[in-house]
Amino acid sequence: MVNNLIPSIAIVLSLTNKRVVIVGAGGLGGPISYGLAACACHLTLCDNDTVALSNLHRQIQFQLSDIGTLKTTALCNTLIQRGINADKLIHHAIRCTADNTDLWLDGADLIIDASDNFETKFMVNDLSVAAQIPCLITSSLRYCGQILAVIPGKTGCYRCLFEAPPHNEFIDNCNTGGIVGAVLAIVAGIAVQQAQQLLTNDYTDAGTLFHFDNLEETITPRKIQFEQRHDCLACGDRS
Amino acid sequence: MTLSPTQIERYSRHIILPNVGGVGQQRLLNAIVHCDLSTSKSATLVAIVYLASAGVGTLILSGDVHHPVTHHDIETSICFELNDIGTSYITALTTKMTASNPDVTITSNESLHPHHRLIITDETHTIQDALILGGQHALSVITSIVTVTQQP
Repeated sequence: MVNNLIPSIAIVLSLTNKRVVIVGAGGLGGPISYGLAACACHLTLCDNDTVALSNLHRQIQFQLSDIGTLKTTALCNTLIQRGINADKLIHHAIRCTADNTDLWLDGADLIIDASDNFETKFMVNDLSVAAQIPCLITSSLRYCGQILAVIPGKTGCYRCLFEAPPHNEFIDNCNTGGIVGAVLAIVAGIAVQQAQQLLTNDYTDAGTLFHFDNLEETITPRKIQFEQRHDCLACGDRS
Repeated sequence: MTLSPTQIERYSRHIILPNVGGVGQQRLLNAIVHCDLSTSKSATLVAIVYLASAGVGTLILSGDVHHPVTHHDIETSICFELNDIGTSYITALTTKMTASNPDVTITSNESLHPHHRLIITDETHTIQDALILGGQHALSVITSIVTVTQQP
């Protein structure tokens, strides 16, 4: 028991001055923020959406009385009610873009994409590479989950693997494709593990896409390794 | 029973899943799941929250259900807040789930006959490990309810 707790204390001490920007305060942003707040990280939470009834089957940080409230406000309130110091939390009711980084990227040691759209995932990746800040891109849909940690200059990036957002007619999200909430717990847990690694300069899992799309694979996700592409528009030498 | 308009909106992201649909959601609402809190409390609590949010209608809790919530429970789980400290697990869970999903009944009445059992034996010490393990078990139970119990 004691041996298991020692690494946790060491991790908390090493993360206490780190700032993590979480883009999205929904089904992934909620449990990810619980995990990182428990490690004493400073958090910047960004989302321009409000809580809706259809969120509650998977966004466990909200309750009925939050409907209509900004997700960032409701999530911050929940974190404070869990004992997190309000001084550690910054929240912005904005849609993060490359044009308003002065509002949300300041002081970031790590950016986590917990959004529900490809445009934002590629934007986070490209900004991460340009600003040389590590990022985690997380995704979930139906029974599937994906997590990719990117270390600019050391690993391939999201654009090395996927090149560009898919055409609109091929895009599904939770609204159109559905989602089982428990999938989000698994993705969030893996994301918090990898965030702790990145923030302590452990690059074991960086540059490898973790992917699962059935129950068995949640126990041992597929690990898809790939090289940095020299012609990548974000991180290649032709960029 | 048919789903009410409010339930259709609440569970719409389930209902559009090919393997769930309205029939699968109704099965979830009719399901009775026995959740054993005597081992792996943090992961079991994660699973309970996701099962309740998914609309699993009745959750029977056993084990340390009258154990008072502690600071440690808040740090290693996702379902408690500071004002729950000293309250029993079952009271705090009932309060939380009533505030988010009135379709769910949480009880310690073991005379009910559960259709499924949630028993997690591996211990976890961090929220992230509890999320992964609890999420896996919740997903397994949900999948079993919507598919295995399918009528021929």
